[in-house]
Amino acid sequence: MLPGFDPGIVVESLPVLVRGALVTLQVSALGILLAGVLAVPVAFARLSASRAVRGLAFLYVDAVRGTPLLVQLYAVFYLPPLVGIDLTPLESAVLALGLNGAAYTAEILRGGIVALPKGQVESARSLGMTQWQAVRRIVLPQVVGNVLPALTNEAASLLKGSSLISVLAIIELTRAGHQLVGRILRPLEVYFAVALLYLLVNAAIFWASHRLERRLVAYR
Amino acid sequence: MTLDRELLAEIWPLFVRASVTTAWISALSMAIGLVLGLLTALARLSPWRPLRLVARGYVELIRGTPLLVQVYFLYAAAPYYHLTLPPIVSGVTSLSLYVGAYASEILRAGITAVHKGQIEAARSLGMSYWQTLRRVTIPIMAALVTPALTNEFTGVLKWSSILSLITVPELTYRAYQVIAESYAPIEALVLSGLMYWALTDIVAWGGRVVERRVTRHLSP
Amino acid sequence: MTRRLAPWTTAALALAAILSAAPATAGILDEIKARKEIVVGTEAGYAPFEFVKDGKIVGYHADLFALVTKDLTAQGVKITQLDVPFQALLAGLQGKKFDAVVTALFATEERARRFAFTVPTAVGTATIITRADNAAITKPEDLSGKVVGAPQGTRYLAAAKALSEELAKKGRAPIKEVREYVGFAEIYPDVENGRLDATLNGLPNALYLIKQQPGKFKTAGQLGEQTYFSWATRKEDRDLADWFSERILALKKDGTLRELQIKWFGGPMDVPDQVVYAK
Repeated sequence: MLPGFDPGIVVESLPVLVRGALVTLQVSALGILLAGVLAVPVAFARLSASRAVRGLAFLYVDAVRGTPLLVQLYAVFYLPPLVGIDLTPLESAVLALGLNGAAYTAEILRGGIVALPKGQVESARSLGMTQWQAVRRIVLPQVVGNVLPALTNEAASLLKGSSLISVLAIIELTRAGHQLVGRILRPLEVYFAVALLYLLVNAAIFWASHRLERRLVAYR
Repeated sequence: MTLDRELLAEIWPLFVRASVTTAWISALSMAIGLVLGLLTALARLSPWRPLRLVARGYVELIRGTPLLVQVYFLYAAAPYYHLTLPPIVSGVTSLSLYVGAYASEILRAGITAVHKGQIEAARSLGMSYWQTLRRVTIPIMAALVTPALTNEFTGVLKWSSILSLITVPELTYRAYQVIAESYAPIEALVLSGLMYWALTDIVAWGGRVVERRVTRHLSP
Repeated sequence: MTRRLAPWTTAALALAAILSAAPATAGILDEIKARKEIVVGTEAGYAPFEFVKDGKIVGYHADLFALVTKDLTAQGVKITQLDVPFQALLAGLQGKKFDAVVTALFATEERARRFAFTVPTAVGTATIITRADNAAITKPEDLSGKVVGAPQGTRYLAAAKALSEELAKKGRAPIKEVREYVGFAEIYPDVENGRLDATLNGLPNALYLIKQQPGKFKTAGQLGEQTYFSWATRKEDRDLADWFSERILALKKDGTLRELQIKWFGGPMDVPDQVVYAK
C-alpha cells in the first residue's frame, strides 16, 4: 500500500499499543463519566433565574470552549500544585477531560431542556412531584433521549481528545505509539496501527450508543 | 499565585506574532477544508456508488481517529513518497483534511434539508434555475449551516495547537518554548489561553454577524 | 502526587494546609521515607539512557537509579517513575509534580539557580548527527546555512543557537533554521528523510543510535567543551541530590558504574567526582 511499509511491524507493535489502548479506554470512560455528572448542574445553572449563577456558568462554558484542550491539560497539570493541590497524572487527566467535556455536554443538555415543552414540568408538579423528581423522572430522560446522538459525538470527541494526555505523563495509546517510534524509528507502521486501534474503540462507542438509544426508545 | 510581570512583558510581543500565525493557519485550513467538504458532501450524495463509498471512507477515517495521530501520520508518511513537506504545509494539510470531513457532514445535512418541494415551488413561480439557486436554495442552506460552520472554525483555531508538536511556530509552540526555558508555566498558559479565547470569540462573533445576514429572510 | 485521594478531598486538605501556618519541614529524604514513595520524572525517549521497552523504562539510568535507591526500596519505599516530555520536566519539578528528575540532564549555571544537581553520571558532549551519506557535513562549521533540529528546553538547542551566532560573527552564513522539537522520536526520522540536515545529541546517544540503525546515520564532530549528565532536585531539596551523589560515587568506587557503562555504551568513560556546571 505504501512504499517501504512493513506490515510485520504493525503486528509486532500491537501488544504494546493494545496496552496503551486500554489506558485510553479507562481514562476516556472516567472523563466521559465526570463530564456527564458535572454537565447536569452546569446546564441548569445556565438556565438559572439568578443572573450571577447564569453569568458564572456562561464564563466557565465560554472559557473551556474558547481554549484548546492541549492548553487546558497543561493548566490542570501545572496550576493545582502551585496552590498546594496534589493530583496524580491520572486524576489530572480525568479532571481535565471531565471539565472540558462538561462544558460541551452542558450546552447540548441545555439545548435539549429548552426544546422541551414547558407544560410538562408544570403538569408533573401538579401531579405532586417535587421539582427534583420532575427533573429526574420527566426532564432528563427525555432530554437525554433526544440529544443522545450529540452526546455520543461528544463522547467520541473526548476519546480522541484523550490522545493529548500524553503531556500528563500517562502512557496511553498515542504516547505508547510515540515511545515506540522513538525506539524503532518506524513512524509509518506504528501510527497506522495506532489509528487502527482508535477506529476500533471509536466504533465501539457508537455501537454502545446505538444499543442505548434502542433501550431509551423502547421505554418511550 | 501571582504573575511575573517582567516575564509577561517579555513574552507578550512573541505571543501576539504567534497568534497571528495561529489565525492564518486556521483560516487557510478552514478555507481549504470548506472546498474539500463541499466536494465530499456532493460525492456522498452522488448516484455513483464507488464515489459515495470513497467519500464515506474518508469521512469515517478522519472522524474515527484523533487529529494528533493524523498529524503525526501525514508528517511521517509523506517523505516515503518523496514529499518531504515542510512542517507548516504538512500541518495545514492535516488540518484541512480534518475540517473537510466534518464540514462535509454539515453541508450534506444542509443540502438534504432543502426540500425538493421548495425548489419546485420556486420554479413554478417562474424563477430560473439560477434564481432558484441564489434566492431559495443557497439562502436556506446558509441559514442552516452557518452556526455549525462557525463552530467548526472555532474548533480549528483550537485544534491548530496540535501543530506545535511538529514544530509549527504557532501559539502553543511559543507557550511550550517559554515553559521549557523559564520553568514558569503560569504566565505562558494564562497568556496563550487568553489569546485563544479572544480569537475564538472573534470568530464566534463574526459567525453571529453572518448568521444574522443570512437569516434576514426569516425575520418578519 | 504523594497521596492518592479524590480531588475534592485533596482540595479540602490543601485548603486546611494553607489556612494553618506551614510548619518547618524536615529534609525531603525523611519525607520520602515517611510517605514510603519517591516520585521521579523521566523523559523516556532517550536511548540508551532511558527508553521504553515492552512497557518498561530501561537503560543506563534506569539500572543506575535502581541501584542508587536499593536501600530505600529495602525500607519499603515505592518508586514511581513518570514518563514526561522533556520540556515539561523542569517545570514539573518546580511545580512539585515529582521529587527529582532522573533523566540525562545537564547541570548548568542557569538551572542551578532553581535546582540542585547530582555528581555526573555520564559524558554528554554535544555531537553532530547527520545522514550517513551526507558528505557535506563533517564538522560544526559545515552547519552554516543548514537546517538543524533539537528538542525544546535542551542544552543542545541552546548549543545550536550559539553555534549559529558564532558562525554569523565569523562572517559566515548562520544556521538557516534551528527547529524546536518535542523529542528525538520526531528528530531522527526527519534527519533520515532530509527535513533536517543534522541534529545534536550526546556522544553516547549518537553512538547507540548508529549501532541500532546501522548505515543510516554518522557523527560529524563535537561542539563546545566536554559536558556531563546529572540528575536534579529542587534547590531546597538539596539533601536528596547529595544523597544520590553519595550513592553514585560509591557505585563508581566499587566498579559497578563502569560495568553499566560497558553494558549500555559499549565502553567505559571518565566522569568527574563533583558537579560540573556547563556554561
